[in-house]
Amino acid sequence: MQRDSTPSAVRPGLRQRHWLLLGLVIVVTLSLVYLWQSWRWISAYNELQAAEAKLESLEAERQHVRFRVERAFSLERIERIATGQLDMTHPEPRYLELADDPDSP
Amino acid sequence: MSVKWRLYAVMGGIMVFLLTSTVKLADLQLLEHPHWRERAEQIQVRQVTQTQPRGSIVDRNGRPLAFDVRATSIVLDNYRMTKPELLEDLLVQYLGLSEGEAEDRIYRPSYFTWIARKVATDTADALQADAEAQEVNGLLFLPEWKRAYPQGSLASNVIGFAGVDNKGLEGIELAYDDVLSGQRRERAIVRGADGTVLDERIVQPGQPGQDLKLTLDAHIQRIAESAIQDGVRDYRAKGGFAIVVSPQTNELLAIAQDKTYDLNEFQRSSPEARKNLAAVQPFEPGSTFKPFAMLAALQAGTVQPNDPIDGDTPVTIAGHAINNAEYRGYGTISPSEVLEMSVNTGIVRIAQDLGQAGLYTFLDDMRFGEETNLSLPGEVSGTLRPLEDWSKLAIGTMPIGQGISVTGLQLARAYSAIANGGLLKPLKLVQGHSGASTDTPARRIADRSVVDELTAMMEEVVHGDRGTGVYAKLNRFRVAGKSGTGQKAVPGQGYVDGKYTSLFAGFFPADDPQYLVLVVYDEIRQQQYYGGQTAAPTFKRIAQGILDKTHLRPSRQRLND
Repeated sequence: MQRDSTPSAVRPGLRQRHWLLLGLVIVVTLSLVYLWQSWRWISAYNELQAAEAKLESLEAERQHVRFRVERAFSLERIERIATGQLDMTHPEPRYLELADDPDSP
Repeated sequence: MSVKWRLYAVMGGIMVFLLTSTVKLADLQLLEHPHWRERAEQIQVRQVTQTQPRGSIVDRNGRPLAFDVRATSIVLDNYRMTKPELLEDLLVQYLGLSEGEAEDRIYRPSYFTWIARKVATDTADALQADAEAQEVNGLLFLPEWKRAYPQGSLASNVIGFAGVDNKGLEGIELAYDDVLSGQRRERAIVRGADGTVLDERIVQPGQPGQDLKLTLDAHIQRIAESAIQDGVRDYRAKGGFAIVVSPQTNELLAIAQDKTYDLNEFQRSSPEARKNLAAVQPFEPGSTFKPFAMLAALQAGTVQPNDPIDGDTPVTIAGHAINNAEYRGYGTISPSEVLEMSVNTGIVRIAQDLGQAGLYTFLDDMRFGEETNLSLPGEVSGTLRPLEDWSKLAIGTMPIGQGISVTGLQLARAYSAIANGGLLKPLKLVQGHSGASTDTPARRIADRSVVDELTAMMEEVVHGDRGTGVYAKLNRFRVAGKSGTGQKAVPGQGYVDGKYTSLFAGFFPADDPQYLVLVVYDEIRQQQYYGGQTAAPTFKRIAQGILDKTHLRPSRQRLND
């Protein structure tokens, strides 16, 4: 069998293989980009979920602290401490009477 | 077998395998697709329902009275449970269950057993961590919302409470449940095999409940509750309540009563403590009703402020004698003195001149016998019989507050109409939301000049030398008011000695009314039971407390005295 070694016979085959290879690279690259993008989306989404859970947990804690503060400053408790422990009493109202200014309009 | 045939056999086997696989794949992907998609979603997609918090309730100054905090409900899957002995110890240790209670909840054939509802999140977190460390399985921790009432028992009879399912069960929580309740949020979450969230779909967005701003002032509410509780104790009364209204706006600033309960522990409260006496307890108003008979007569022109009135006792109507208190005779007196000394015979004679129809029409215009616009749970309408049902004696009993029953809210609304110059306006308890209440337009019940004449008479009740309300007198502030002592009727026995309702209603400063206070005591068990002797001093204490807080300008008339 005699091999055909003329350049005109080799070039079309090589060119086809180059295009095929380039096409494969593009397809693989796009696939990898797609996979990477999906992975990043899922990863970011899960980070968001974790952050939301953390936020909710902090909000729950804030509400509990708010309740404790409001309870500690409740009028009934303040009055009980003021009168029972500190011997405070209700003030006697005092009024300052101002005479009318005869020169005022 | 030759190599060639062996090769054909292997190739044939592979072909059959591939063909079978292709057919099966086509079957799975095309024909059975909906079925397997549904199964996959059942495994991967989880529907998550999140309850939204109820709206907060705050007082007129923004002080929180009720809001939601996070809590955790704990459930046991009894079939998946492991190490029950350890679990029992954990429940006793963290949740305070008795051993019997813990055993009862652990050893039962069920996939879902409530262990505890709405436990504090830190307690639940500690229990969960300990259970995981000891490899105790089966516990489920469900996030929920729990109602918290930072002011404890303050205004408990008005605010009411929400139950374990966060539905309003009493008071404002019930009346405005539609406003306060949030809409549930529903999400569909798609998870991978390792539990990673792959996608999320909002099925129903949901929203938290709306906040409510009440017209109540927590400080004034506290002052009124403290005063009424001390009064009930000192006067040995069966019960009592007080209402504070801003007459210019008709906003309720306080609805206080002696019996209260800690809203955070509502399960331990008695039905008696949960009643809102101002709305649910009808009573005969006694002499606090006289100003309305007087106002009706003044407005109709059947009496003038300077007319002489016979104050001697008795007045006989349809064979019944109507006497003054302690059978006293007052001779000829003025209409102002009729109110000042609370002369029964005088007001009855004034009402006789007005006539039954005139009196009934006026009382009907004042909306006695109708529920207020607030639509509070359990509110009663009181009783104003239709004119055709009035006996001949009614003209002798109605003006002195007998044969009619009212609620505290109705009486406060009616007095507020006098205080604001003659406009009967709907009461307000919530700002910005009509909610359960049904607003009715304001109605003029008497001319301003006539109301001013009545107010001057009511000032004499407090500031006059012989006034029955002198114990309500305030330093440097003019007060207009009226005391009353209503007899209580017992079914089958009629009016019974020793059972009275003692009242005082008044407003101040009389020349520019800013506050109206109504005090009502039920069945005082001491010798001095008249409203002027008991309810009037409580009025003074509440009024003085309000003045200490608000620094009102003293009455000009008083300063010039």
